[in-house]
Amino acid sequence: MKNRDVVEKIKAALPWAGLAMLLAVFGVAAARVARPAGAVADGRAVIRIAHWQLEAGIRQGIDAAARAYEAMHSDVRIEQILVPERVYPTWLTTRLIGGTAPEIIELVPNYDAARVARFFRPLGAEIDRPNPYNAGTPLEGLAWRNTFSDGLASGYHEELSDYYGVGPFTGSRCLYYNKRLLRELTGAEHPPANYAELEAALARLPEFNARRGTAVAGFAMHRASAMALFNDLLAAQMQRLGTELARGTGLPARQDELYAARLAGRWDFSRPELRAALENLRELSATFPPGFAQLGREDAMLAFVQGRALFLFSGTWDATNLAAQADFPVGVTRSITPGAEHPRFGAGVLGALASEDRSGSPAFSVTRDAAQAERAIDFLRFLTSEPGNRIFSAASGWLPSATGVPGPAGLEDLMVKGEGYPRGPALLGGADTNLVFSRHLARLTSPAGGVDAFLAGFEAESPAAMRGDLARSLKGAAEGVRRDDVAIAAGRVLATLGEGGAAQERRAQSQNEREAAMRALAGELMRGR
Amino acid sequence: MGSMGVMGVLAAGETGQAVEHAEAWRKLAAGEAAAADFGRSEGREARVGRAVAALAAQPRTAAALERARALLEDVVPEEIQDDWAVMAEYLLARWHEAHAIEPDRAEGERRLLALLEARAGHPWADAAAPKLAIAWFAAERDAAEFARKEGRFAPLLERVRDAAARRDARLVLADAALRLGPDHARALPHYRALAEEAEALRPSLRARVLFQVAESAAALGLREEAAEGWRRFAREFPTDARAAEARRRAAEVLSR
Repeated sequence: MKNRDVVEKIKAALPWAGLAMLLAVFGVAAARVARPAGAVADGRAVIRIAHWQLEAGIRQGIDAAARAYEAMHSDVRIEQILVPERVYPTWLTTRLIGGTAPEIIELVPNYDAARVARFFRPLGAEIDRPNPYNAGTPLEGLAWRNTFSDGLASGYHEELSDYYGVGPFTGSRCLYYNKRLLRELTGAEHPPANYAELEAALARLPEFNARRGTAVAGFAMHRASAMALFNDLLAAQMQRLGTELARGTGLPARQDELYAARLAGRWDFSRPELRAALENLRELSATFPPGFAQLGREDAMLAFVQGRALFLFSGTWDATNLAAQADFPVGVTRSITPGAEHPRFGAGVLGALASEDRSGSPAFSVTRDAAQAERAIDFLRFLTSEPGNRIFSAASGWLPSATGVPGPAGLEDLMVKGEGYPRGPALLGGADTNLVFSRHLARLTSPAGGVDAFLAGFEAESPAAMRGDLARSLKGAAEGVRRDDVAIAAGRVLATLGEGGAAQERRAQSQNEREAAMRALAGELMRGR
Repeated sequence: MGSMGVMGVLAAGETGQAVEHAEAWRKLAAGEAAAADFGRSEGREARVGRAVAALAAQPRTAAALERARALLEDVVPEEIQDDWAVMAEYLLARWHEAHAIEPDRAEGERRLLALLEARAGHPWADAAAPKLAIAWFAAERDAAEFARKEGRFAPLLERVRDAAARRDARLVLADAALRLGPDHARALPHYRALAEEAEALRPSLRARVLFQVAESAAALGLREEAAEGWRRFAREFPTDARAAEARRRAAEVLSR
């Protein structure tokens, strides 16, 4: 009886205890987040770094670099704030507007330019100077921006004409494979070296499954990764067309130029290499799990780690998670597209996709009002220096961003290598065009469908979709140009006081370049009516 | 503000003229609202400042834009030709071509041309040069019309003293010439001039210009210049996605 009373009391108290714990945790978290910028804890200045990279490894990598930095700077403490990706944009905006933002923030891609300008500190001046933490390394004396394997392209904000961030790692699209399955299937230990080998491996699957009574798919796939893979395959096949459309630059056109040229009647899918590209998508999608267009990332990851697929098309960001979850050895290689030598799918290809075009880096930015801005920038210098980035990469298992730092074991093939041909223009990317493509995709991939069935719908509807995408793009560009007019006018007045002359000159240069491109595109659209 | 000569002084390479509302201009430069920061002053700087703030006001309304236009019109009487007047003239041209709810590009173009003809050499008038180049050339596909306007534009560009404005106008001309055909012979001199001032270009533009010098030179059969152009590109942008292709083309063009 007594025991029952005790149990009942505990039961009654549990909700309150839970609530108390929740409040305590919330209080601690709120206190950490809301701590004024540059606050001092245990006598040390605190630099907080917020990001959404919850994948295995990143937190450990930043922690390792932070501890090494703190060992050199005993008056500084570095803290990480991890925010789930789904709520990150809202969280970020709330913190910025509320004035409680941390010192260092991972920028959301395509974040509103006006907010970037208002809340973040441009790094143009710092980025042109050598990084002192590279002293004694092969990167000593180089401008900070030239020490990144991607040339810091991802940290540059084109509209604002300045650098707004640096990143400690590089992400790259890649192909994971189940080593055990691949060996059973092909007898080979190594991944496919080219597209023909990939096709050959996939061609063995039906017999392999029939013999074992299994249903192993060629690819663990979900909607977003399928669209990304299709876009890569189409972009490879559009290198030749894209270069023809670019009028004298010798390099592939941009997506907006591709769309405008389509509306002007300069190309369509009757071109043999583009029909072949669609045939390729159809054949490849036959090796995806049924209903892949309705699946999410978690479904694809689960299918792969359960051994239900040979390949997973994803990115280096999944490497550490896969290694932790799979009970079989996971191999990884760069994503493969058909080369120019491919007998059926090589006609539009000018070269393997440049490794730089398969990669991208995050931008960790310093908030404009951070009291510890100089220290925050200094920590970023260390994090992206040869020694700091080496520590980060070794502890995280992620690809380093600094030139010359070796990649983690098994990922060497995915490092940016300065080889290959720039990708062709991306067919997918405009919201309306994506929608039309998705709407008719089942006609391309279903057993009863085919290229003609897909094109009957896509060719009829995509011109209007491309026009809509271009109109939206022009509208956004016009808004940016008007916003620039104000900033440039103010900047020119301030330049008479000796303030920011070079910065406003760069912004005017960028505005003029974008405005000219906008007018040219609008002209193309008028002619294409 | 004692505004007479502020922009002219800048053109002469001097600075330090008084600007009364520096903090308000700083806010506008950072994308913040600043109309109230210009106070109730009826001074010419404050009126231009309030006009610029009205151009930035969100949401964008016809009333705010009309207020901006009226303030600018008020600052440009013919009898006072100080720097605020020239700045207001420039902004009025921009108002017509880019800011009005229903833009009137022809009126904007007319005003840019008038400003450049009357005041070339003044920083705000020089800023009109790339804008006029955009209006005349960016979408032009008729070679004869292009040449006619080019003949009219060249002497105006000669009078532009602001190096940044001259560079930007040249870039517009060069890119437009490429879209015209491409006409590499017309484009290359402009790209060469830009490459000579490469340090003044943003990194992304610098890379594009260097690659284009090589590409246009190759198209015109200037193999040595093309090879050197591509080598320079690969040297200055070793981690660019185009670097490998630049190295390959440099080797190939010399082997022809």
